[in-house]
Amino acid sequence: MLDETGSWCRLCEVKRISAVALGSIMSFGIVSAREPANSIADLVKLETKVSQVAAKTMSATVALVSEKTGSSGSGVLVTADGLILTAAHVVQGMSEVDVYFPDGKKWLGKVLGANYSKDIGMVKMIEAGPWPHVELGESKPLEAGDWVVALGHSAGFDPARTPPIRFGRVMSDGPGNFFTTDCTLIGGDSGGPLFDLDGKLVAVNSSIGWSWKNNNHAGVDGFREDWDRLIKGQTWGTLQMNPLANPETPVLGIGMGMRSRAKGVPVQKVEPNSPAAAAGVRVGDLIRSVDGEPVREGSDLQQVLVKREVGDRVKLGILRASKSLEIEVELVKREELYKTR
Amino acid sequence: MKITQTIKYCAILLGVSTLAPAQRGKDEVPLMRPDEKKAVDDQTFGFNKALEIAVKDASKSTVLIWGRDKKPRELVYGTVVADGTQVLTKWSEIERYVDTLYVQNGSGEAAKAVVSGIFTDEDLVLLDILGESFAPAKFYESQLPLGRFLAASRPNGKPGAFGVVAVLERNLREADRAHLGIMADSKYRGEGVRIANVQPEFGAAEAGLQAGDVILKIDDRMISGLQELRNALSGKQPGDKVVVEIESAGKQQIFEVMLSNRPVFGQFSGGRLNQMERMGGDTSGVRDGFSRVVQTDMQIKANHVGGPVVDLQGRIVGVTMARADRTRTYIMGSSAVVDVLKGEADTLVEARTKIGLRKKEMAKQRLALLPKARSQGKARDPRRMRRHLSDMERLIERMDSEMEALGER
Repeated sequence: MLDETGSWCRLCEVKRISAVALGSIMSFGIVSAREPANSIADLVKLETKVSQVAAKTMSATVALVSEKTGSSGSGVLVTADGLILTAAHVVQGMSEVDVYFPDGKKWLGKVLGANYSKDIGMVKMIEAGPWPHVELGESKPLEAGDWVVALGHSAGFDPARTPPIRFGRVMSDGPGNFFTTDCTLIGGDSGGPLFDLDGKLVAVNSSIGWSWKNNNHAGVDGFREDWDRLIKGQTWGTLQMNPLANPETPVLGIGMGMRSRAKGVPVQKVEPNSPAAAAGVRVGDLIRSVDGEPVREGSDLQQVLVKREVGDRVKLGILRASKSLEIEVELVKREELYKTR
Repeated sequence: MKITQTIKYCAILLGVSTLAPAQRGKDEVPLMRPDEKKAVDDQTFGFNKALEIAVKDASKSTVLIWGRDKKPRELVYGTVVADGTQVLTKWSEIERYVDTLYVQNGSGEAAKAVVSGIFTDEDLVLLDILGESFAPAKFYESQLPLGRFLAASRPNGKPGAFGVVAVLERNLREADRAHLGIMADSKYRGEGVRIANVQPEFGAAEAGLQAGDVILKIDDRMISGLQELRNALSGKQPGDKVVVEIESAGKQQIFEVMLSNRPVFGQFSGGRLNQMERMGGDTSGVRDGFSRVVQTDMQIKANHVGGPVVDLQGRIVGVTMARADRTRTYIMGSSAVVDVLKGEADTLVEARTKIGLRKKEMAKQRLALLPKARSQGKARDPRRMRRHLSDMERLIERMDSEMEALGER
């Protein structure tokens, strides 16, 4: 038996083909959320905004450098008294870090907390300031097609240039607090800011995949959830590139049975104290849809869930003893149900 | 459950020291939902349609350059200049085909072309079109500010790539940067920068600095580490003099050092690696050392550089010079292009002599640095090992993409 938090390799080819067929059903409601780009006039408007974002945010985009380890990442100031948001892996193993501003000036920062599961971390300037800083935006409302601007000290701090600007859009939302854009990133950009077109911070840069379109960012709303712990200097979580194994990945708390001829996911186990158990999901149920979206097999279910957030309520379409019923379940963090190492 | 296919989630963290090649996955963006794919695909379609208007005129001045060895090969794009009888393009991409060149515009008109002159230092070449003339580019000379939208044109009237100005115009030439002429000791953990090696005939050596000295100050600036040293020198020109405060055997001393040109052989670039990186064709073979370029985030194919770049108003604001890596494409702004065209070009013989000499010089400098590095325990230096590792990783990536390219044929 495989539980729903198992390894990623279970996503198989068949599922992908079946998923394509669903495309047209779900594409409503997204169009209105982003600025149009269908004419030169549209593009001129976008261009003006991108230039404004660059001008507004550049001075708050810093490089975080450790002379001792030779590592170099980026970060962004968000308060006048010098609070810096960055990626957890940028400040891994450091208590202090050199903070370089685009003008080449160096200051010292104290490393505060980090949540490795979300790849978010905080640094505080030692000097009181006031420092140049950016406003916080929101990451949860972001959807595929939303325009964004990324900055970062690519390939390490370079006094001969300012941090390069990259313009792109959200490609895919999730998993969890992460999302993907086509703003190309490279080593050194980690922890650097991603802005919406108003110049508000929506994420920090986290990781990349092979494709130029696969650049991953940790949403700013993830910082909000963990704000107090990070400020206090707590460090927790696990760096996990596999989203299904991430301790903060949202789960139902069921074990999935073997695939049968029927389309759906058989429930073979219900974790005690899980939201699935509380909502009345039973062993033997066949999960056939999530929020109306058909799931044909385990990998479909995994892919749907990994894109949701903890606390979201999902409606499971279930077949039980030849009868259809709907059960609503609130998703919890994987680490709350399963021991993670 | 049957496992039909393994798909690895391929993401890698972005710390400079941790950049590693990801396992190549099936999907460009894993976990992308069909509705998301549709949203961005529709958006891309509308965006490119809009850009077609901007590149319309420029595409008439964009040509495809062909060469022939066993069979005809599409080499790179070019920009029609002067009165329409000349083409400016990327020298390193056509160098091997100088006797078999022809150019072709979007309407399919083709003509033989020969080398007129080479701007070796900028990796540009001017070709004469024989017996034919095309629509020449009208260069619009203006500053390119941060965030400016840019599109590269193709001969077929379509945009080849889109990008924004990522970094203002700058000089990438290492040789034009001010340099003390030292190698830093990477194992040193104290304040300042300890000298591992002074390079003979450079400023530091001439002034009397020695291996083991610790640099504490440049002019009035405290030097806490290597990055700070680089920053202190970044505003200076070769030939400038700086006051260097050092500690030597417990004693503080002051030296005046005249800054040198940086050696052509940059700190850690490798000719061998450059060669290998050309495999797969993802990045341009020559992608550095330009004297006046604007960095953009354009994702242009390496064999689509050489053509004009327009702004949203359709004005030609530059030409594409090189796809440098995942995040960078360099373009030369129109003012710089016009200046280059006004300057004196090298002949074929001169250009090849220059390149030959440069390679020799690089080899010499590399040899000069090697013995010392080895004696310091080259193999155990973690920074060097990391560099080797990342070199290897890049090679593997190249070979991987080469294999992939072969598979697609």
